[in-house]
Amino acid sequence: MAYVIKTTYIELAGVNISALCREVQVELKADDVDVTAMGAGGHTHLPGLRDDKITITAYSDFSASTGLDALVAPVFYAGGTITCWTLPVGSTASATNPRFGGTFGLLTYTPIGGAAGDAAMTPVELVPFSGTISRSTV
Amino acid sequence: MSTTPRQVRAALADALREISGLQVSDYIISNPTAPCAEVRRGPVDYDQAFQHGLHVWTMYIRVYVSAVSDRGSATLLDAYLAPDGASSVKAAVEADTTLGGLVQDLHCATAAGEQAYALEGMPALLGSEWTVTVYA
Repeated sequence: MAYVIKTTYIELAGVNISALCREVQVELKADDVDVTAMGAGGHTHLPGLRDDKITITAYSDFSASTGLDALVAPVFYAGGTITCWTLPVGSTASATNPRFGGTFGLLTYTPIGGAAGDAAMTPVELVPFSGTISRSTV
Repeated sequence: MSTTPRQVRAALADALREISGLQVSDYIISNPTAPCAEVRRGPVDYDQAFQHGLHVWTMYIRVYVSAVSDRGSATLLDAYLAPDGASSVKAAVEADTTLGGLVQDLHCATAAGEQAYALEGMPALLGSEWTVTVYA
């Protein structure tokens, strides 16, 4: 059933940051491995190594302890990892509301961005530490 | 419970009351006595963040100064339109961009410039309208 994205849940380092977030993208992706043999009339593809990522676009927030910067900046500067979980609707996972996430490294953090008069936005790009994003229904 | 339009109107009106000599109404005035200001409600963009975390309210502030032909009224309007100063509408509104903690932020980005407003049963009044974007 179609739904409108309104109550998507996003948790970063154990903190619910949903109300700060404007966009989220969970991208599950595999390399395209070409296994085409001689004589084939077209390419044959196999999924190769996974290259998943989660991209969050949030309103910039420099509040102490639970603001986005307080959660993300120390991890980025330390080259550390951070947990992230997101669900389509609300915080309870089920067969019809899967939870995606895991432990991530940070590839991109843009603490300040935008033009005069814009709402300050902060994109954060997370790549899974273990190589893949997990999916669970419980 | 989210911030209500009533609260935003009242807070913006309170901010405008810091301008000396300007009468202020939280609502549209049916029979304005210039110089005066009224707070009007514009479009609302709900759900600009997940889980109802942010709604964006567009509010309008209209100021009437006096009869269009009055040179003094144009001078007064210039003072209201200034980006800063004791009579600046923008400066008054942005003096506290959280309206006492009521909203996350606000920005008075535009004003309509010199306008002549035709009101029923009254001579045209010189004035202007400011647009305030409120993040609540």
